[in-house]
Amino acid sequence: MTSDEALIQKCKRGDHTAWEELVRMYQGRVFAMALQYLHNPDDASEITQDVFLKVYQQLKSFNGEYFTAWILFITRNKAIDRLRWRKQRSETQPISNEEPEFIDSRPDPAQEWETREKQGLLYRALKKMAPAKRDLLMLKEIQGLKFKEIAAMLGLPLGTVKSRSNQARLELARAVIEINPDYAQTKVVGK
Amino acid sequence: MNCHEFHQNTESWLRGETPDHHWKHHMEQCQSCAQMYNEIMYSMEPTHPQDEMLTRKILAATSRKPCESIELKDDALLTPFEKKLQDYHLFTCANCRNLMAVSDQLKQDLPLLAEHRVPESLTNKLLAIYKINRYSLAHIWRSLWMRPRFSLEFSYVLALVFWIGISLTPDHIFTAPPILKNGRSTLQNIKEITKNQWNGTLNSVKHTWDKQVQQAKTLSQKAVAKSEAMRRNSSQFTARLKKSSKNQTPDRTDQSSQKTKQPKETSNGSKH
Repeated sequence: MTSDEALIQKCKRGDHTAWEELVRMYQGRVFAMALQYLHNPDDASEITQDVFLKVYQQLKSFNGEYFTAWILFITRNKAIDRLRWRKQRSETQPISNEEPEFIDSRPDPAQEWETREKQGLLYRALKKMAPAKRDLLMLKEIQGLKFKEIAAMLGLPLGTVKSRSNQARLELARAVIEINPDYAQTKVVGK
Repeated sequence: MNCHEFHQNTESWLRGETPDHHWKHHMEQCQSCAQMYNEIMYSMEPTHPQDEMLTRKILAATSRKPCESIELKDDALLTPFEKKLQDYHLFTCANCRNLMAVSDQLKQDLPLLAEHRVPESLTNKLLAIYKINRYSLAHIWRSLWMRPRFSLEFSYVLALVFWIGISLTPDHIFTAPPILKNGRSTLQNIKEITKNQWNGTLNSVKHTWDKQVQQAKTLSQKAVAKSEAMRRNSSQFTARLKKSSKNQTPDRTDQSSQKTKQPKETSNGSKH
């Protein structure tokens, strides 16, 4: 049994400490994904709350193996619903142009500054992409889901997901080169 | 023509620049040159399988847009042949090389966007989910209302229920007495109507009762008056009898007996 599965079993038994651990483990990812769809921190906060409430309500009936894919699937659906609701009401939500503050555990301030610069650049490049390709990139490259999970989530054949993922990354690379042609030369010490 | 000239000018002959008869005449005389000619002719037919990679290399090198003739892919998605083709293209094209380098760098950098710093207030709210009522109606309603289809369908159902409610309402409520036209609610009006009807019923019962009591009183008064009259008549009759018996003669006794036989009318008109 993996650590995630053990944690989920404890949550099912009503262990409050396990729930707290689960929340702290996934809140960053859920919030980041919601923000990448909605570009508004307030909406992203509401979506995060809705996602965890739904997870809490349906946790007892969850018997699958892919908890990460499940929670991100719920996040994606709720974010898309919010986008449709916004579009239906023709509301112009204040889209934040500020670059979000991503988590970085590097102690070196210089490296932290470089990382933040790079993250900001990637965020701007992602905004320029078509929603379908950005969707794929978020699930595969950013959140690290497997092709099989993404194919099940999006309802696409496995081969299509693989080829589109590659095309999406190349398109993002072109967008990044437009913003900063020397991107490949600057390197960040990875996690 | 000698053999040296034949070898040097074979190409121009094959291009059709030199007339045939010189060549044919020399081949008829020289067996070695004829053999060389036959070898050239046979080699024009393909005897070995075509090398696809070579074909692609040639096309990639000679086409005007080589970057479009090849689709850059991940190593894991390439067949060995495609891998070689891609490597060859990347060796020759600086733009695609830069693009692949950036793409490879993105594989390392994109996971940095996976997590976002969450405000402490949001974390507290998420932890509080454990304590709140999981069936909070307000929250469920809010999340349902956010779904575009739900709000449309709910509005439609509400309009339908309202329409059905109005269609099934009894007519008498709308043709009610003036009391309803004052703008009071239907329920209040119904209460008032019921109250009025009850009071009306009570009043009519009371009226009937009073009337009957009055009639009974009248009848009893009449009966009393009648009995009083009868008593007076009988006392008068007794008094006369006594008087007549005192002054009684035989003639007078016959006359009195005749008088007693004739009915006498009393003061109230009744005959005895």
